[in-house]
Amino acid sequence: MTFFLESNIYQFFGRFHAMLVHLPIGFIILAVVFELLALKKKIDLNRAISYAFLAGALSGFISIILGLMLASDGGYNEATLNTHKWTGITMTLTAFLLFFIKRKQNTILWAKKSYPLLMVLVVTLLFVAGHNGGNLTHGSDYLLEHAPNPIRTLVGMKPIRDRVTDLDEALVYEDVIHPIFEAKCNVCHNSDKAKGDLLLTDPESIMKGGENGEVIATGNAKESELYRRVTLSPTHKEFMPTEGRTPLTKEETMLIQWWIDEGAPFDKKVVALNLTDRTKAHLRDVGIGLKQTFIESLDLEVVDDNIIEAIEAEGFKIKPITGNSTLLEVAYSPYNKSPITAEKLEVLLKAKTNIVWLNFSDIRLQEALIPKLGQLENLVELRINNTNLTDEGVKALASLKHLEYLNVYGNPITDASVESFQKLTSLQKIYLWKTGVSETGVQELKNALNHVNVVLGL
Amino acid sequence: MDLYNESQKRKLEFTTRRHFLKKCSTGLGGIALASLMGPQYMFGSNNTVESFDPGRLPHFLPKAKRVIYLHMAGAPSQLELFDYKPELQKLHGLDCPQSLLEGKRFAFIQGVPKMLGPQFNFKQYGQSGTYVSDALPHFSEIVDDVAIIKSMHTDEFNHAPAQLLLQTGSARSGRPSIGAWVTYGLGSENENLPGYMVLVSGGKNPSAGKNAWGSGFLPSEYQGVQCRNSGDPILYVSNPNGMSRDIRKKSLEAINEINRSEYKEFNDDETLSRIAQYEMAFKMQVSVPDVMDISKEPEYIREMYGAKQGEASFANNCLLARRLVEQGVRFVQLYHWGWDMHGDSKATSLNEGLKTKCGEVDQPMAALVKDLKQRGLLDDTLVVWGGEFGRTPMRENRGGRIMPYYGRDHHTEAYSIWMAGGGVKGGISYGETDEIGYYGIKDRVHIHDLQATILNQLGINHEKFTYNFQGRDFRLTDVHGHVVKDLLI
Repeated sequence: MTFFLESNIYQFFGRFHAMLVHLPIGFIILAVVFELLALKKKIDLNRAISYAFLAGALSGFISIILGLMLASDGGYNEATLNTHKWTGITMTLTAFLLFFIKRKQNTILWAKKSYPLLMVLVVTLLFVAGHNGGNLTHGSDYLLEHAPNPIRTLVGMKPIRDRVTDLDEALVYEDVIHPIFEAKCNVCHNSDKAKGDLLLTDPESIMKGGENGEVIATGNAKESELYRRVTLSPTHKEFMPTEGRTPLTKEETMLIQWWIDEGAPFDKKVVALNLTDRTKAHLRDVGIGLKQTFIESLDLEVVDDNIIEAIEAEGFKIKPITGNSTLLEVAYSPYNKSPITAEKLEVLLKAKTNIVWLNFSDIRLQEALIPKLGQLENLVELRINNTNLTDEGVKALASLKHLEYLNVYGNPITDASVESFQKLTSLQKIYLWKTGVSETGVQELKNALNHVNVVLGL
Repeated sequence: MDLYNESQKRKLEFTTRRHFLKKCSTGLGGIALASLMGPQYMFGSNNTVESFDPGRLPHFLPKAKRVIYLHMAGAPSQLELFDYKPELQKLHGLDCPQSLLEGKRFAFIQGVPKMLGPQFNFKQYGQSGTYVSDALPHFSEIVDDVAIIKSMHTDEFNHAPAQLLLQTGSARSGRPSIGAWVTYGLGSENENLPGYMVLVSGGKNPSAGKNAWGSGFLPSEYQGVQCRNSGDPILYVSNPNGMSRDIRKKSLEAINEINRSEYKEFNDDETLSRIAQYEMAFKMQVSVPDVMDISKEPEYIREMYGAKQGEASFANNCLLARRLVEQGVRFVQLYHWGWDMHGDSKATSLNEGLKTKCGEVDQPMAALVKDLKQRGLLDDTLVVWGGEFGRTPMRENRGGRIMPYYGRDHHTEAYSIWMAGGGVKGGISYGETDEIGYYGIKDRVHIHDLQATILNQLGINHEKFTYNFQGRDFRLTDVHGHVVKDLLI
């Protein structure tokens, strides 16, 4: 018997409650469905109904025993547990009663009269017990967690707050820590379950701690029980989350450490705390702080396959910038013997809104065609180095408002282009090696666009 | 015909229409169930050349589009180049403490070796104040564009397995190299050149041999193509006398036609690889001699690298590497052999041999970074420089004897590499070693972490990039590897 002594035998059997409890639900609903069917179709299903009630009552009885075993571990909301327990017991007794009534059909008058009422009662009890059981297992917020806001307000829940992901605006608890707790901890540490008497659903409960005292030592993550538990070895008996639930990621534990070390504030903004590059990287991992770049802000329709094929047939290399993007990068190989013509460029421009990266380096481009590139309204990177671009051509590119990267090295352009470059307001990096742009021209450009990085020969 | 094919054939002969009808009842039900559960369970994973869709890669927006990997075969000493340890100087000549030797295995050190102080002087350079030794005067000019990782560590203390671990993610041969993985996933940016090219200098091939740029179980068209430094860059790439390009074209078309019907019959993916290779070889007849001809570079560029035409030098290879990435080659792998400074001869001494080797690579590698930068290529080209492991803070005492010259043994616990461009921060040092450079004590980076980081810069999630082979999914990083995010812009 040592086998049983070492393990918690009550818990071993108790865990089967959640599985077995679905049998009485099924049987009793089956009995009710049969009853309605018999009524409507005028057929005799009495035997089937009585057996269904018996099966429901018996499996309900076993579920009650297992349920009591499970509850002996504690950690459940007393009120919810009581409701669940007593509705369950009443329901099972009613099912027995219904079985006896059905067996002794038409013999006792009061039984015949109360039968429909008892049917309604058993179904009601079934739903009440079932719902409370669900709340005990998953937490009371589980059912309506993803309900639309009107339904949430109807039942008195807080409307969902849209998570702020902008680093400057995000709140450290609401937008960083609370979502981690919700995702990884609160299945067990909620007001209905509260394992170890610990709730992690709201600031007061978090600071109050659990049955072994406080879980957060303000300003000292290493001394905090909460931090210790989630950073133990996953095989350790005290590791959290337990029962094979998804552990916290390394980034999540680092953020919790940072939050506690910073004094575990609940109402401060992320930026009000001490932020290292590493913390910022971890915040990015949980979705905070990524200022959308222009490319990320683009939400464009996918370009038709026929257009892509037509562009490829003209000798362009064209492909999405990532595996699932609708944005495109385009290149034209200098190995390609046929030069780019107006007709070819016309075909390319059919996809003009989606082209964000363009590489026309080392190819001869007719002067007259360059103004057409100005139509690529969403172009972010343009490589047009070692070609025959002139000041006149650069003028035509000045309409590219979103251009961040421009490589024009090795082109016969002069200081006359500096004025055109200044119109590229998004420009961050420009390559001017082997051009006629002088030191003074570069200085002028730097003065006008002070964030721009000008790279010359080294 | 081999045994497997023969058994398949017998099985097919045995199976009749009756068998088919009998199995239909369960078989079709199974198919229906599989399609209900999701088509990916029905058709298995995509692992053939045809069904692999490179359009799904990169997984996210890449910082780097291509890689130049400068592998210093033989493993340079970090203590003479990047990892400045004044404390070690103070211990110079003293017996190594037992605590550093217990439970350790070295390739050559026996008994109790003496500690060996750094053999070069160090100074701080650049705005970042990075320590670099006198041995690398040109490199000290580019420190602000470079991230030095001082806490690299590996599992292998012999050259061949350590090189394989670095290049293929496994110390045993047979896995695809990182360049093969990358070209398999991302393809080439230039259909006229192979996506993965290899250039070797320093006198010998690396100890791991050609496995270090093999394709393993990936289709063989993704293996690295090695170029020679003199004569034909690729053996037999030029047409023999009397064979015109037209005739060559016609004969290749005929061969491909035969291969295609062969593929239809046997469905072997390697046939497709062969067709692709013939087509590539034909294109390379024009593109390779052109791209490999450094006389097309202006004089001042050749001088910048220290390249001289016709030499099998690291300088030439660095210049070629730039020319190749300029043409859209995805992965350029350089090996420079001869860094194994044990101190058993003048050529393998820290004071003489290492200086010579540094002289061979210093100017070209600095020129490469500068040249990529002025052309705007450094933004999306990742340059990685390093050996397969590090060297001990102790002086080697092979056979328990005092060696004729100063040398160091192989060391797995800590060594330095550097990276530049491709979305890696410039002017930083990452990771720390203890005061004698024996162990990494902060932010250690394993070989698999480096591989994960390189793939990450190319827009590839190393955990999702798998290839199904012999019943299981393989990754470059196997079940390891964490992206070193602190290194990234």
